[in-house]
Amino acid sequence: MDEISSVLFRSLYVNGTATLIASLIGVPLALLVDFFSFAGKKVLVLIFQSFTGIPPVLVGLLVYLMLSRNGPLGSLQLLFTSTAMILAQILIALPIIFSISYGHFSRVENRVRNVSRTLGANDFQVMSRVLLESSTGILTAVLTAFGRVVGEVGAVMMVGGNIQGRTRLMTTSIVLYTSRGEFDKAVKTGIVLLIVAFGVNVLAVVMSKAFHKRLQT
Amino acid sequence: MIYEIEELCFSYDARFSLKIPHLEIPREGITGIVGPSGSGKSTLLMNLAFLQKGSWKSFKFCGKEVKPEDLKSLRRIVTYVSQHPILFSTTIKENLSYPLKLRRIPKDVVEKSVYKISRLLQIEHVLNSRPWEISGGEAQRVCIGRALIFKPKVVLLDEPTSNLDEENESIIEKILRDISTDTKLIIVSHNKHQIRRLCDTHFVMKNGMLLQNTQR
Repeated sequence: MDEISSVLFRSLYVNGTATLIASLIGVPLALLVDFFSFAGKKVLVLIFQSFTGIPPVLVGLLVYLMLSRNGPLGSLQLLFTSTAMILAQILIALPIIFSISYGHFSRVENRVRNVSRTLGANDFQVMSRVLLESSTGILTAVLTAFGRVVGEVGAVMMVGGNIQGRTRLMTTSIVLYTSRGEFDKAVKTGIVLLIVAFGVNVLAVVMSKAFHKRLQT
Repeated sequence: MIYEIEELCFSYDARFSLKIPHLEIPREGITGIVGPSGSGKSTLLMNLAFLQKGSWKSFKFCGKEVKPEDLKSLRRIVTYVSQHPILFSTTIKENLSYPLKLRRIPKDVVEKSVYKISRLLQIEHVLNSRPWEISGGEAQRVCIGRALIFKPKVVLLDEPTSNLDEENESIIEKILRDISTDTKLIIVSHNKHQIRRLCDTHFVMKNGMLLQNTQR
């Protein structure tokens, strides 16, 4: 397997795993926050929404401090591994998935919830209904988060270290090749990255349009 | 009586309050609630559907006093059809089968029930359509069918024909008359003529108060 292919597969593994884990946490969390009323709900949503724009290097710094030898998770020896990069990307993807999903859940009319209840649904079944009604919106959230982490460089560079054959991703490869003056390799990797990012974004736009069309009808 | 209520009060805010000193709704036939917009008809209906909880001195359903902890289980036997058809973003067949799937009814029974109710409501031709592909009259019939399919004790209908043309109005009125032999119907409408045509008993409401009870 040539270098670009191995970097591509490693990138897809890191980005995909981070997006998957962030989705498994973010979507149910957004659903629960939407469903229940509690003190501090608005503040919690605001915090998540603010973190959608957090600079990746800050996330990198936070994860670095946590995983460094003197950090609280230093004994796990995860720094400069794929796991560290996945952890950093989860923190980047989670606020995005939460905020977009929450926005779609809260747009599902209250009348839909009432109709479910009056047809005999319990709380869990009402939440399942809201989830189904927002399925396209959730897909948009996941694809948007994936689009964000696939092009992210700051955090993975800090906690992954850009080690050849271990933690080198497409974005960090481009940084390295450019700094070495190997522009042909940088451009090749860039084109592959662009195709992946473009594909994901096209999918996100198509899904988003379908969802809005559904809302309008 | 299916409902026997003493001193029911409900308010959203200081501007509106529902005050029902005494209300008895018989088990048989169709009962109507008529009144102008903002008179509290829909609020009363939501309380009867156990979707809103007011305060009361006594609230009996089927002769049994209602307790706050009973509301969730009562929602499984009393259902409500809103003024604007609310359908889930799936096929009409899925919409109709939803209440039965919630109750874990076997698949073959669900299939039979869906076809039976769709024949009764003349919506067989839209079973595989999506909500945005059918007319307003068909959507309202689907909502009524979805409410009836699990054989609830009471079906509460909020302005069931207010957004429909005359043809669809008469189709739905005929369906309501047909199903009222098996199911108790309570209908809210601002249309006095419709209430007189359809209902065996009706109440008049104004400014959150019950004014009169008329029997046919």
